[in-house]
Amino acid sequence: KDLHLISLMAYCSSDTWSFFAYTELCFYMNTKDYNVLCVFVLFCLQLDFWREPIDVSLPVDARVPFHSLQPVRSFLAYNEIHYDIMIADLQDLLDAEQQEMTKSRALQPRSTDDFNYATYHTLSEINSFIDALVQENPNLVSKIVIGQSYEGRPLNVLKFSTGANRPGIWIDTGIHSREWVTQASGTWFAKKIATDYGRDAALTAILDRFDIFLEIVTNPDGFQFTHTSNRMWRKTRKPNSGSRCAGVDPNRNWDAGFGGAGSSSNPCSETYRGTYAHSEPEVKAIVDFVTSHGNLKAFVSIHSYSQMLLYPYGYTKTPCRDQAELHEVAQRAVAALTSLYGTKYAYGSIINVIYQASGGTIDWTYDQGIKYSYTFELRDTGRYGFILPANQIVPTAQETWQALMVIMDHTKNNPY
Amino acid sequence: MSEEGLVMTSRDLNPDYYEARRAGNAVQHYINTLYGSPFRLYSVTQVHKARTEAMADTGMKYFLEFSVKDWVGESSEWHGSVEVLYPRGETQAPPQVQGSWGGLPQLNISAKEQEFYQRYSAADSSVSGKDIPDSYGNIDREMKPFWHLARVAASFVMLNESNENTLYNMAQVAKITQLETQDDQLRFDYEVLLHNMVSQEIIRWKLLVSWSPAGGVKVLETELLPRCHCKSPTQ
Repeated sequence: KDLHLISLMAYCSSDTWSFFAYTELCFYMNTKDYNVLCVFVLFCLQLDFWREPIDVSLPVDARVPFHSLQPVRSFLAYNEIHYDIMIADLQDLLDAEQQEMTKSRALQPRSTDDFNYATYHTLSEINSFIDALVQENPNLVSKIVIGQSYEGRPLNVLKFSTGANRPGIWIDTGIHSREWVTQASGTWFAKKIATDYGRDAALTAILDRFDIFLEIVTNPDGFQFTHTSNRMWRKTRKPNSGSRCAGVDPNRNWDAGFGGAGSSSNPCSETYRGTYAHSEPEVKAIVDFVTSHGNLKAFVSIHSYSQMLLYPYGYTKTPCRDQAELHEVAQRAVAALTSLYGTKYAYGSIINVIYQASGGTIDWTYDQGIKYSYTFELRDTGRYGFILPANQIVPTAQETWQALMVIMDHTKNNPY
Repeated sequence: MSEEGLVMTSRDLNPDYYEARRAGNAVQHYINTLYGSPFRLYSVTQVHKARTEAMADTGMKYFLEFSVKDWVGESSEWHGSVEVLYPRGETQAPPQVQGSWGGLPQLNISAKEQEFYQRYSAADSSVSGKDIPDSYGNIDREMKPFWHLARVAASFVMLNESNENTLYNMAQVAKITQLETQDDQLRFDYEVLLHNMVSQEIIRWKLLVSWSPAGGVKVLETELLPRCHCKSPTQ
């Protein structure tokens, strides 16, 4: 054993490592002096723990740099520690993802007029769409990167603005990654706003007073995961230390009744709240944006499915102070939505209509003083659920837009 | 109703709010276990009126007036009333549903069922598939009756699992494999994903299902499958 420690020490001095030919090893620590092993191995072999040693009963994941492969392998073999290789060459994986994204970009439609709104798109296609929309409408549309996801993806927000120092209206889609009709509707809304400015009187009047901020893929890590691995993924993709389950429910992670009934403390749960409010970078980025903007007047967070238009609160049965007004606006918004295709919506407070939910987005935005805080649950009511056929994207977006216009119009006509 | 001196608390419910919605959802599953088919599936489209009463020893009873229709056959909507009793107790037990279904629209599907049955009871028939619908909501026309059949079978499980804190829908058929026809019943091994709206969990169930036009849908075996997690060396 001493021999191995000495040979391991020799590697401590090597300072450079390239990204090439890394191997990730997943191994169970079953040696009784594992504490000593872990610290030592981490320091000397520059093991990058993706899941840290916590307890002998829990697995450990580590990325092993190339120069450490031989000593780590022989150490594990000598100590009869079982391991699995989960990713043989991380560089390959990264190259493949990069290639796929480049290839996608090469096939991109040249303009947002050629973009197919009636189909589901990948993350890179949506990001290309965003850039194209900005490029085509430089006097109206700009892109703001409000932060980075856990896995380092940009959190892109489209800003529609016709003048400086305006109050703002915020719309987000895709905070729950499996709710694909929402991101798809978001791209449609983006195009709609750019098209209707200067053509539609109502939208023009709104944009002449307010900026509109639209975050289409609010949870890009989750969204990518629904494409590559699990179509039903809802949460973020941040690992949870001490657990084999990843991800936090970004709609339970806000500082509004955080930690209360209506969210879970179990990392394996779909409604896991996280270790503290705003722990998720995807959420924190919006919190920081809202706080520093300081002048948002409406905030709409869009989900699917169930066909509902909801206002605060989710965390408590106490009616919010503006309940009567929010209810009346919701009634009109739903009437406008239904008028298009007959789609029926229920409306009311979150806790009454759907369930108790703590740490929710619009409870926080409302308590920040953004009175017109709403959340949508788009089509359908369970027949297809999350896997809504693509031919329903455009009708869903169109009818939802009618409701959004009522909310935005009311916001414009009722300054506060 | 206080002959025995018991206090019955009767409460009117908003039919659009979650208590009524969940009870309506359980009724939908119940109706599909009775009358569902590869060519017929019911959806409770709306609850019009709802009331609950605590039944001192037995549980919580819901009284609903609702609309329902067969969305596969595109029937008209039928207006019905029903009682749903959620039993008291620590362990899960299905709600008891009581209603009269004589007026439920039952379109004639016997020709379709016969044709489907003939086709797939051929000795060499071995239907299989996965991810129905696919990620984009697509279902091959030929697979639609199998999707409907899965929904009927899933209704048995969803009804069994229903309580005041659940709202189930079938999210997707993960796998279908046709097994050998036995006793003139077509048989299938299904793996289905259920979505519980209240917990937001996706739950996997394995179902052994038999069907024939005469025999209807029967769920012979069910197995709750574990969640998919990071694979460990011991598994």
